[in-house]
Amino acid sequence: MTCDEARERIPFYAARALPKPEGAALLEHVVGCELCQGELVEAMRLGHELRAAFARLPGPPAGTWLSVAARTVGASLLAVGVGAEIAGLTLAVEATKSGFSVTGSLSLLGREVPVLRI
Amino acid sequence: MADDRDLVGQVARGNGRAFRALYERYADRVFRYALTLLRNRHLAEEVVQETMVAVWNGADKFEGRSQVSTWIFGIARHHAYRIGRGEVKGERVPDEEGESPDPALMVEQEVRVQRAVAGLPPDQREVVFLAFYAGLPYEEIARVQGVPEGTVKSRMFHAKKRLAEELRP
Repeated sequence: MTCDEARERIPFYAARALPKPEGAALLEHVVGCELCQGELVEAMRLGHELRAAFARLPGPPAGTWLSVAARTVGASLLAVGVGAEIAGLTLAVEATKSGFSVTGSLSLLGREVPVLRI
Repeated sequence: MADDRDLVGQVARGNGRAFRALYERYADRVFRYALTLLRNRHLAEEVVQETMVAVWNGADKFEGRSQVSTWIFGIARHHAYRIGRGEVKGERVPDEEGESPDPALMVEQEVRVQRAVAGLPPDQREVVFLAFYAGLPYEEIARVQGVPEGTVKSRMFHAKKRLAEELRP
Protein backbone atom coordinates (compact mmCIF):
# COMPACT_ATOMS: atom_id res chain seq x y z
CA MET A 1 0.00 0.00 0.00
CA THR A 2 1.32 3.45 -0.90
CA CYS A 3 1.13 6.50 1.37
CA ASP A 4 -1.59 8.02 -0.87
CA GLU A 5 -3.69 4.87 -0.63
CA ALA A 6 -3.12 4.75 3.13
CA ARG A 7 -4.18 8.37 3.61
CA GLU A 8 -7.42 7.75 1.72
CA ARG A 9 -8.23 4.96 4.14
CA ILE A 10 -6.99 6.43 7.43
CA PRO A 11 -10.11 8.54 8.14
CA PHE A 12 -12.37 5.51 7.54
CA TYR A 13 -10.18 3.44 9.87
CA ALA A 14 -10.48 6.16 12.51
CA ALA A 15 -14.23 6.15 11.91
CA ARG A 16 -14.25 2.36 12.50
CA ALA A 17 -15.76 2.15 9.02
CA LEU A 18 -13.01 0.34 7.11
CA PRO A 19 -13.51 -3.33 6.19
CA LYS A 20 -11.23 -5.59 8.28
CA PRO A 21 -8.91 -6.80 5.50
CA GLU A 22 -8.28 -3.23 4.41
CA GLY A 23 -7.72 -2.19 8.02
CA ALA A 24 -5.10 -4.91 8.42
CA ALA A 25 -3.32 -3.86 5.21
CA LEU A 26 -3.41 -0.25 6.37
CA LEU A 27 -1.87 -1.04 9.75
CA GLU A 28 0.84 -3.05 8.02
CA HIS A 29 1.78 0.09 6.09
CA VAL A 30 1.43 2.47 9.04
CA VAL A 31 3.76 0.43 11.24
CA GLY A 32 6.60 1.17 8.84
CA CYS A 33 5.71 4.75 7.92
CA GLU A 34 6.24 7.56 10.38
CA LEU A 35 4.29 10.16 8.37
CA CYS A 36 1.21 7.95 8.11
CA GLN A 37 1.49 7.18 11.84
CA GLY A 38 1.11 10.90 12.48
CA GLU A 39 -1.89 11.03 10.13
CA LEU A 40 -3.50 8.11 11.92
CA VAL A 41 -3.01 9.63 15.37
CA GLU A 42 -4.53 12.90 14.15
CA ALA A 43 -7.47 11.08 12.51
CA MET A 44 -8.14 9.04 15.67
CA ARG A 45 -8.26 12.21 17.77
CA LEU A 46 -10.52 13.86 15.23
CA GLY A 47 -12.77 10.79 15.12
CA HIS A 48 -13.21 10.86 18.88
CA GLU A 49 -14.15 14.56 18.78
CA LEU A 50 -16.54 14.12 15.86
CA ARG A 51 -18.39 11.21 17.46
CA ALA A 52 -18.79 13.19 20.68
CA ALA A 53 -20.04 16.26 18.81
CA PHE A 54 -22.56 14.34 16.67
CA ALA A 55 -23.82 12.49 19.74
CA ARG A 56 -24.62 15.86 21.31
CA LEU A 57 -27.00 16.79 18.53
CA PRO A 58 -30.63 16.61 19.67
CA GLY A 59 -32.98 13.77 18.77
CA PRO A 60 -36.50 14.17 17.35
CA PRO A 61 -39.23 15.60 19.60
CA ALA A 62 -41.10 13.06 21.71
CA GLY A 63 -44.29 13.47 19.67
CA THR A 64 -42.64 12.33 16.44
CA TRP A 65 -43.39 8.68 17.14
CA LEU A 66 -47.11 9.42 17.56
CA SER A 67 -47.18 11.14 14.17
CA VAL A 68 -45.38 8.20 12.56
CA ALA A 69 -47.54 5.64 14.34
CA ALA A 70 -50.74 7.40 13.31
CA ARG A 71 -49.69 6.95 9.66
CA THR A 72 -48.53 3.35 10.06
CA VAL A 73 -49.30 1.02 12.94
CA GLY A 74 -51.84 3.26 14.66
CA ALA A 75 -51.04 5.33 17.73
CA SER A 76 -52.37 4.13 21.04
CA LEU A 77 -54.09 7.05 22.71
CA LEU A 78 -55.79 5.24 25.56
CA ALA A 79 -55.73 1.72 26.93
CA VAL A 80 -57.74 0.79 29.97
CA GLY A 81 -58.07 -2.61 31.54
CA VAL A 82 -60.17 -3.71 34.50
CA GLY A 83 -60.81 -7.09 35.95
CA ALA A 84 -59.19 -10.07 37.53
CA GLU A 85 -57.98 -13.54 36.60
CA ILE A 86 -61.48 -14.89 36.16
CA ALA A 87 -62.97 -12.06 34.07
CA GLY A 88 -61.81 -8.69 32.73
CA LEU A 89 -62.49 -5.97 30.21
CA THR A 90 -60.03 -3.92 28.13
CA LEU A 91 -60.76 -0.86 26.03
CA ALA A 92 -58.29 0.77 23.62
CA VAL A 93 -58.53 3.96 21.58
CA GLU A 94 -56.07 4.34 18.72
CA ALA A 95 -55.36 6.99 16.11
CA THR A 96 -54.93 5.48 12.66
CA LYS A 97 -54.26 6.84 9.20
CA SER A 98 -57.97 6.97 8.48
CA GLY A 99 -59.16 8.36 11.83
CA PHE A 100 -59.73 6.68 15.18
CA SER A 101 -60.46 3.12 16.16
CA VAL A 102 -61.96 1.88 19.39
CA THR A 103 -61.58 -1.75 20.33
CA GLY A 104 -62.80 -3.61 23.37
CA SER A 105 -62.40 -7.16 24.50
CA LEU A 106 -63.70 -9.32 27.29
CA SER A 107 -61.52 -11.93 28.93
CA LEU A 108 -63.03 -14.91 30.63
CA LEU A 109 -60.94 -17.60 32.33
CA GLY A 110 -57.86 -16.55 30.36
CA ARG A 111 -59.56 -16.45 26.95
CA GLU A 112 -59.90 -13.09 25.23
CA VAL A 113 -63.01 -12.36 23.18
CA PRO A 114 -63.30 -9.18 21.04
CA VAL A 115 -66.57 -7.47 21.85
CA LEU A 116 -66.22 -4.04 20.29
CA ARG A 117 -64.59 -2.63 17.14
CA ILE A 118 -65.47 0.85 15.86
CA MET B 1 -31.88 -8.62 20.70
CA ALA B 2 -33.15 -8.91 17.11
CA ASP B 3 -30.76 -7.59 14.48
CA ASP B 4 -31.84 -4.95 11.98
CA ARG B 5 -32.62 -7.46 9.21
CA ASP B 6 -34.85 -9.51 11.52
CA LEU B 7 -36.71 -6.38 12.51
CA VAL B 8 -37.24 -5.32 8.90
CA GLY B 9 -38.51 -8.83 8.11
CA GLN B 10 -41.00 -8.59 10.96
CA VAL B 11 -42.04 -5.09 9.89
CA ALA B 12 -42.69 -6.47 6.39
CA ARG B 13 -45.19 -8.84 8.00
CA GLY B 14 -46.91 -5.91 9.72
CA ASN B 15 -45.43 -6.34 13.20
CA GLY B 16 -45.99 -3.02 14.99
CA ARG B 17 -43.69 -3.85 17.91
CA ALA B 18 -40.82 -4.58 15.55
CA PHE B 19 -41.51 -1.29 13.81
CA ARG B 20 -41.39 0.56 17.13
CA ALA B 21 -38.08 -1.14 17.92
CA LEU B 22 -36.69 -0.14 14.53
CA TYR B 23 -37.90 3.42 15.12
CA GLU B 24 -36.18 3.54 18.53
CA ARG B 25 -32.99 2.28 16.90
CA TYR B 26 -32.95 4.77 14.02
CA ALA B 27 -34.97 7.87 14.90
CA ASP B 28 -32.08 9.71 16.58
CA ARG B 29 -29.62 8.81 13.83
CA VAL B 30 -31.98 9.81 11.04
CA PHE B 31 -32.87 13.07 12.81
CA ARG B 32 -29.18 13.93 13.31
CA TYR B 33 -28.41 12.98 9.72
CA ALA B 34 -31.22 15.22 8.46
CA LEU B 35 -30.04 17.98 10.79
CA THR B 36 -26.55 17.64 9.36
CA LEU B 37 -27.93 17.91 5.82
CA LEU B 38 -30.61 20.56 6.32
CA ARG B 39 -29.62 22.34 9.54
CA ASN B 40 -33.25 22.83 10.47
CA ARG B 41 -34.96 20.94 13.30
CA HIS B 42 -38.51 21.20 11.95
CA LEU B 43 -37.48 19.87 8.57
CA ALA B 44 -35.36 17.18 10.22
CA GLU B 45 -38.44 16.00 12.12
CA GLU B 46 -40.36 15.82 8.84
CA VAL B 47 -37.55 13.75 7.37
CA VAL B 48 -37.80 11.29 10.29
CA GLN B 49 -41.55 10.97 9.78
CA GLU B 50 -41.38 10.49 6.03
CA THR B 51 -38.45 8.08 6.31
CA MET B 52 -40.09 5.86 8.90
CA VAL B 53 -43.41 5.81 7.05
CA ALA B 54 -41.50 4.79 3.91
CA VAL B 55 -39.73 2.06 5.90
CA TRP B 56 -43.11 0.73 7.08
CA ASN B 57 -44.56 0.81 3.57
CA GLY B 58 -41.46 -0.56 1.85
CA ALA B 59 -40.13 -3.15 4.30
CA ASP B 60 -41.46 -6.00 2.14
CA LYS B 61 -39.38 -4.69 -0.78
CA PHE B 62 -36.09 -4.64 1.15
CA GLU B 63 -34.00 -7.35 -0.51
CA GLY B 64 -31.05 -7.29 1.88
CA ARG B 65 -28.48 -6.44 -0.77
CA SER B 66 -27.16 -3.62 1.41
CA GLN B 67 -27.09 -3.02 5.14
CA VAL B 68 -30.37 -1.93 6.70
CA SER B 69 -28.66 1.29 7.78
CA THR B 70 -27.65 2.02 4.17
CA TRP B 71 -31.23 1.45 3.04
CA ILE B 72 -32.69 3.70 5.76
CA PHE B 73 -30.13 6.49 5.29
CA GLY B 74 -30.76 6.28 1.54
CA ILE B 75 -34.48 6.81 2.12
CA ALA B 76 -33.74 9.62 4.58
CA ARG B 77 -31.44 11.32 2.06
CA HIS B 78 -34.13 11.18 -0.63
CA HIS B 79 -36.67 12.78 1.69
CA ALA B 80 -34.20 15.32 3.05
CA TYR B 81 -33.50 16.63 -0.44
CA ARG B 82 -37.18 16.56 -1.35
CA ILE B 83 -38.17 18.37 1.81
CA GLY B 84 -35.16 20.67 1.53
CA ARG B 85 -36.32 21.75 -1.90
CA GLY B 86 -39.71 22.60 -0.38
CA GLU B 87 -41.60 19.86 -2.20
CA VAL B 88 -43.52 18.94 0.93
CA LYS B 89 -46.47 21.13 1.85
CA GLY B 90 -45.27 23.64 -0.75
CA GLU B 91 -43.00 25.31 1.78
CA ARG B 92 -39.64 26.83 1.10
CA VAL B 93 -36.85 25.83 3.43
CA PRO B 94 -36.41 28.37 6.17
CA ASP B 95 -32.70 28.97 6.49
CA GLU B 96 -31.49 28.20 9.97
CA GLU B 97 -27.86 27.92 9.09
CA GLY B 98 -26.87 29.40 12.41
CA GLU B 99 -28.96 26.94 14.37
CA SER B 100 -26.96 24.66 16.62
CA PRO B 101 -27.61 22.77 19.83
CA ASP B 102 -27.77 24.84 22.99
CA PRO B 103 -24.13 25.85 23.52
CA ALA B 104 -24.68 25.83 27.27
CA LEU B 105 -25.04 22.07 27.04
CA MET B 106 -21.91 21.58 25.02
CA VAL B 107 -18.32 21.81 26.05
CA GLU B 108 -16.24 24.34 24.18
CA GLN B 109 -14.41 21.84 22.00
CA GLU B 110 -17.66 20.21 20.87
CA VAL B 111 -18.98 23.60 19.81
CA ARG B 112 -15.79 24.15 17.81
CA VAL B 113 -16.17 20.74 16.18
CA GLN B 114 -19.83 21.37 15.31
CA ARG B 115 -18.95 24.70 13.75
CA ALA B 116 -16.08 23.19 11.79
CA VAL B 117 -18.36 20.43 10.46
CA ALA B 118 -21.06 22.98 9.60
CA GLY B 119 -18.48 24.89 7.56
CA LEU B 120 -17.75 21.92 5.28
CA PRO B 121 -19.36 21.65 1.83
CA PRO B 122 -22.62 19.61 2.13
CA ASP B 123 -21.29 16.47 0.40
CA GLN B 124 -18.24 16.36 2.67
CA ARG B 125 -20.34 17.06 5.77
CA GLU B 126 -22.56 14.12 4.86
CA VAL B 127 -19.61 11.75 4.36
CA VAL B 128 -18.18 12.75 7.73
CA PHE B 129 -21.51 12.08 9.46
CA LEU B 130 -22.13 8.76 7.73
CA ALA B 131 -18.61 7.49 8.45
CA PHE B 132 -17.84 8.88 11.89
CA TYR B 133 -21.27 8.80 13.48
CA ALA B 134 -23.28 6.23 11.52
CA GLY B 135 -20.24 3.99 11.02
CA LEU B 136 -21.00 3.19 7.37
CA PRO B 137 -18.10 1.76 5.30
CA TYR B 138 -17.15 3.86 2.30
CA GLU B 139 -18.77 1.50 -0.20
CA GLU B 140 -22.10 1.86 1.67
CA ILE B 141 -21.69 5.65 1.78
CA ALA B 142 -21.14 5.54 -1.99
CA ARG B 143 -24.48 3.73 -2.32
CA VAL B 144 -26.27 6.26 -0.13
CA GLN B 145 -24.81 9.21 -2.05
CA GLY B 146 -25.09 7.48 -5.44
CA VAL B 147 -21.46 8.20 -6.38
CA PRO B 148 -18.36 6.06 -7.06
CA GLU B 149 -16.32 4.90 -4.04
CA GLY B 150 -13.41 7.05 -5.18
CA THR B 151 -15.57 10.14 -4.84
CA VAL B 152 -16.41 9.23 -1.25
CA LYS B 153 -12.72 8.71 -0.43
CA SER B 154 -11.86 12.04 -2.02
CA ARG B 155 -14.63 13.87 -0.12
CA MET B 156 -13.45 12.32 3.12
CA PHE B 157 -9.80 13.14 2.40
CA HIS B 158 -10.60 16.83 1.87
CA ALA B 159 -13.01 16.99 4.81
CA LYS B 160 -10.50 15.42 7.17
CA LYS B 161 -7.75 17.75 6.00
CA ARG B 162 -9.91 20.82 6.53
CA LEU B 163 -11.23 19.69 9.92
CA ALA B 164 -7.74 18.83 11.11
CA GLU B 165 -6.51 22.30 10.12
CA GLU B 166 -9.39 24.10 11.78
CA LEU B 167 -9.36 22.04 14.96
CA ARG B 168 -5.62 21.83 15.44
CA PRO B 169 -4.95 22.67 19.12
